[in-house]
Amino acid sequence: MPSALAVTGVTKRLSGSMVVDGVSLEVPEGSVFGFLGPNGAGKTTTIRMLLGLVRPDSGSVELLGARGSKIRSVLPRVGALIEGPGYVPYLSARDNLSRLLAAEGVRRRDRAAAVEAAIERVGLGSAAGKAVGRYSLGMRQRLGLAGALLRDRDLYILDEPTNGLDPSGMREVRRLIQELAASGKTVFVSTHLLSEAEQFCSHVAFMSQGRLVASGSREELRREFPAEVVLRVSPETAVLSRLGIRVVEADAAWARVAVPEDGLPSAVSELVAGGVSIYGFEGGQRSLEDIFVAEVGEGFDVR
Amino acid sequence: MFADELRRVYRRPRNLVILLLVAVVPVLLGVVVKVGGGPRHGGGPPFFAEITQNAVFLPVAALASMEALILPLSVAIVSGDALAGDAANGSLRYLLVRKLGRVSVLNAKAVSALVFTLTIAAVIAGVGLVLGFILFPGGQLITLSGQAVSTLTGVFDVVLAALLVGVSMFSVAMVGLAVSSLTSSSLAAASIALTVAIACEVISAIPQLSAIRPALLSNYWGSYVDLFRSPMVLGGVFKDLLEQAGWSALFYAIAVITFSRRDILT
Repeated sequence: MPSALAVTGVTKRLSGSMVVDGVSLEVPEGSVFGFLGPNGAGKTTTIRMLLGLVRPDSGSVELLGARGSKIRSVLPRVGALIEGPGYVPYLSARDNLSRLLAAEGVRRRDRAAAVEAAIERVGLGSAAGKAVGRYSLGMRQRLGLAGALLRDRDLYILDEPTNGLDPSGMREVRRLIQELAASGKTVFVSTHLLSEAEQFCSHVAFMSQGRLVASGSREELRREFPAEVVLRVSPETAVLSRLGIRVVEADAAWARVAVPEDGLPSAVSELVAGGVSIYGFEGGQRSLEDIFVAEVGEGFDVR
Repeated sequence: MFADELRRVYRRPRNLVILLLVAVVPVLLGVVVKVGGGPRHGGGPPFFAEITQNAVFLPVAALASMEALILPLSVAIVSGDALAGDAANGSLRYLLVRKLGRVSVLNAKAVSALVFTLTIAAVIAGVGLVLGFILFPGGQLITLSGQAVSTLTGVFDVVLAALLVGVSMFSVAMVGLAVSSLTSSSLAAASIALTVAIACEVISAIPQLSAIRPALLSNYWGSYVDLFRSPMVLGGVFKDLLEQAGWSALFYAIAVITFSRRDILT
């Protein structure tokens, strides 16, 4: 499958610290690509490099087949929400969106229809004439999405699209992304909410501290990180470590250990033979969070 | 894009307050002089003594009194906001991921800042002229060369003077734009642009530094006075225009270079 977006060995140092460190990834056309990582992992800087806002120190970016200075010529085919909405607070939503179209070279008389359609699509109709400075956080986020949806694009780059939205707003965004994907568009969506990515991404990539730690289609990741069963057992730590079984958590009364699903029968007999009591099973499919923890060795939180 | 940028500049509440405040100066000046009488001849800034003589001197006196500080300040605030304001509110990144490109966005902002600069001068002159005709006698006026000219000629001279004073601020506007292209703080950009303007005025007051005086962007700011001679003396005016063109071009070039290379992180 041709890629809508390809990044090769991209590195960026900002005020002395390595923000993005040798990241390579490929976003296949028509995919919903989840770009995942905790806050501060380098996602936004990477996105800024994709769009030509930040110049990489090394490495290259290819956007819809264009590289370097040619990227500008494909920008009209890209809708973007970059690190939250950014609007002139004393202008109305309509004027702000019209200004974005102006930057695309659309004549004033040709703008109204696109502006109204985008406003309707994100449910801002009644507030469209109000100065954006008086909008709530959720309304601003909707306006940000309206900007990305202003015209029909081939690729949508959405950075944290559900930020500041209430649960029903989040649902709408999920539906929107699914609609875009269903119509054959490529959606590159960054989020720190893994549960969100579980719901709509066909591909994912994990960032942690500026590095890409894992990436691939959900299928590939499932193969690479096979399902595990978690057992609740008595905390015989010596036996567990002799058998090489991974302990998820342990206290004085219990231990929770993880074994691969296909190795379950042998693990159970080894545990029983070693005198470990088994009290319960949980398990099955590994969540994205499990994969992240397995790969990075720590939880998905801000450092 | 240019029209949309103009709309942004003219809808910014801060900029409207600037227009309102500069309009107050000729009003204040006119009322004070009407009530209290003008200074004796030769006192005060250029044209203060002439205000009571003829309506057209009120706008000129107002421009004269504001050229040293209030005009550069107003222009610095507007031009310093040109890019930094959008960088701070986050809309700059959205303009730059579109087809237009950085230099076109910069151009729209540069031209808007210059148009607003002229607007400031026009507001002062317009308010001053209208109020001048309400408070003071019209009719023939005596130029600085002692000749009498018609009111219409006088009004024409005021329009030219306002235009020249406005253009004299272009260098300040471009300094503001250049600094604005480097920061997301409008305040920092405005302060630096104003500091440059005032530094030029201070340096020009130091006799030991008179050698560099012709190169200072404020050196020919007083040249509008020569428009009120008959015939007009245009040497200083042309030097001012040249000075403004030179500095504006330099700082515009700096803005283009820094802005097209800069990482946009806001």
